[in-house]
Amino acid sequence: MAATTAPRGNRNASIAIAVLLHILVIGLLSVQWSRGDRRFDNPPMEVDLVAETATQSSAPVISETPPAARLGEEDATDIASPEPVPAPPIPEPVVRPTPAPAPKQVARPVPAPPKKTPPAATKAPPKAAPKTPVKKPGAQPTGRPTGNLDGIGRELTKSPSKGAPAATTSAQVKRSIDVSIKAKVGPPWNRCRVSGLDVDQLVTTVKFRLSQSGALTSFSSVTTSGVNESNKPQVAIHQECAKKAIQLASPFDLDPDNYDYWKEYTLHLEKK
Amino acid sequence: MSASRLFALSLSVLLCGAPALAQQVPDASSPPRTGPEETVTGTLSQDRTVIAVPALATPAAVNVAGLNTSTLGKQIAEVIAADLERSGLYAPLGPGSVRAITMAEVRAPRFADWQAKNADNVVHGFVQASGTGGLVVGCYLYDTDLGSELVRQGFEIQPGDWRRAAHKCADAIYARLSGESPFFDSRVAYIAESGPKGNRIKRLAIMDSDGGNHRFITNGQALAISPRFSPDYKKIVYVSYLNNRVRVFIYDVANGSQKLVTESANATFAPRWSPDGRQILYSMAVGGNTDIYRISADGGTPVRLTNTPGIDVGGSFSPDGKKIVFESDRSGGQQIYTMNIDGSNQQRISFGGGRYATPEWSPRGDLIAFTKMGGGEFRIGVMTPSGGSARLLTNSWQDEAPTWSPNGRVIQFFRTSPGKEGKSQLWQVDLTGVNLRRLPTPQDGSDPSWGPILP
Repeated sequence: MAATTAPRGNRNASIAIAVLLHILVIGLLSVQWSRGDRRFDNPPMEVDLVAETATQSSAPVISETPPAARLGEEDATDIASPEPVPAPPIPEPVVRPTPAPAPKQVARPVPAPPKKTPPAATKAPPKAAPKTPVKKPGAQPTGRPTGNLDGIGRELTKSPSKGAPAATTSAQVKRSIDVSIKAKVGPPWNRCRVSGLDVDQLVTTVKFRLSQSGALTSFSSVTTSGVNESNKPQVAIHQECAKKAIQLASPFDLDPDNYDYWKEYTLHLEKK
Repeated sequence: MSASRLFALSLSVLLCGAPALAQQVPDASSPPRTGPEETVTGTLSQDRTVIAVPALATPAAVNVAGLNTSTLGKQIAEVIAADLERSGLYAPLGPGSVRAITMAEVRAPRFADWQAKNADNVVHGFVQASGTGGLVVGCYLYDTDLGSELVRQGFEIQPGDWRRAAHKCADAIYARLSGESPFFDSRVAYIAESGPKGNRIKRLAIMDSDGGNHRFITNGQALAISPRFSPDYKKIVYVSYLNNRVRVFIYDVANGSQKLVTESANATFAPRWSPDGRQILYSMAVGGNTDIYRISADGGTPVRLTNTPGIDVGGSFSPDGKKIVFESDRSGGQQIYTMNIDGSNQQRISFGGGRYATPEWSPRGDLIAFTKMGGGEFRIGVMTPSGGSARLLTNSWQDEAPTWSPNGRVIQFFRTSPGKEGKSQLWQVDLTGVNLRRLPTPQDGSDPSWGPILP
């Protein structure tokens, strides 16, 4: 009997242990569920991706009928969000006071050139639909040398892939961005007069930062080389002209998809 | 005008948008990153910067010492515009070509209006009675592209000194936009010439840098040559020839008296002040040998600085007073030499073809101006104190005797045209070789001497 009672006792004990373990498991699971928020805090990008994927995948036709209002909100949120690069204090106004500087609360269409008026459509392809080249009517080549370079950089620098990071920005796209920035800075740089002996030997190097909207946010450094006794008086004017040229050229019309490439830029300005 | 009569209301020139001389410190919060770089090459255009200079506003048109503040507003703007135009760097739109402004606009310009005039900058200002019998003149310079104030200055003046206030405003504008030191508020001494070539009357005369406030100092009885302002503008040293007597005088501008420094039967030339105004250099020919001497401005025993056979002439101090540049023919033809102020370490610095004469050290110290003689022509040029980078700035029949503007940017000289009826006239040229123009004088002019900025 003892032999039979012992196994029964063991079975009972096993059942009790199993019940306790189940209770413990349920308890532990309950505790984890109650702290689920904390778990989703890390990493935030997962939340974004899951939410976006869930929302879009639930739509029966994703690319043909994008919810414009929703996309518009996202676009505005992008502009309103803090700049990726913390902007240091700007010692002097970097944006022309007459046309109000692009406030962070204002949606992209307001400060942007007229060609950007349909922002939702412009921003929609990279967000909601597979990349399909969308040609803007205003950007159609006319075959006439109008001298108007507005938008050229943006079109040329349009990345074929969605959100291409700097590492994947092709050499051709980089070249297009470089050309666009030079073309925008050139005219105001030419217009600013620097005169004096040996001023052709001065080269002012300006490192500056841009917001995602292409607006100048700050000058990181301004230095000048080629200084001698004769052109020393013009160094300050040379630097001022260089900064002013960049100020007047801002905002630059560049594709945000390549922002990582052009967010901090260096120009060497000289006059020959 | 004494300094006490011209007060800078705002001694600190407010460089609101002042050039940032590499003040930007790289943000330490971001890691070093090699970003994209590009070079933008502009053109060194001779296009002038367009500056609108409307008449200065006045809160109430009143008469002060017979001068109407409204009329003065326009006259001051005209002088400012003329100064800027004469610099060769700017194309001012004076009060005759742009609308007048209101007092409210002085500190709140309508930038769109001036942008529509293609003006890169605009000058605003005001004239008002000071309440103590004087005038208050204020001027502001704005950048029309950026809509920002660049500089402002204000002066309380005696009504008769309104032209100086205009020059001061123009100087503030010029200095802010060009990076150079100012030079409009300065004076020129020169020799006014009249009569036939064989019997010229040569009188000492002075005037503002723009030709205004012209005044004859001597009456022409004695022949006056080689005038030079003292560094404080209170005196003028010059050479007087009368009845075969050669004397060096110091003329006191304030009271019109003059003091004899040295007198000799020998030919004496080219007196020059030391930068501190305590000593004078001059050259004297004795027995066919001409040497350079230094003497105290109070007179006394001269010190002979050169003693080589030949003709050593002239002498111009370096701005730091440590060196002297002079001309000498000890090597055969006239060439330029430098030496220490005690006469030691004499070194030739000009080695180009032709002859070099009348060297003048720039107030900035970086260049020496000279007259280059060769091919039957006299031309004005510059070279470094070591003799390098020689450049000719003029190309005429006879240009000679260069003198520097206070900021070392402009060179004045006199030009003689050929022939029996050839005239001598004052001209000036920018250091870059552009903006060659004649300085109007009532009579023919020679031997100009540009003084420093007025104290």
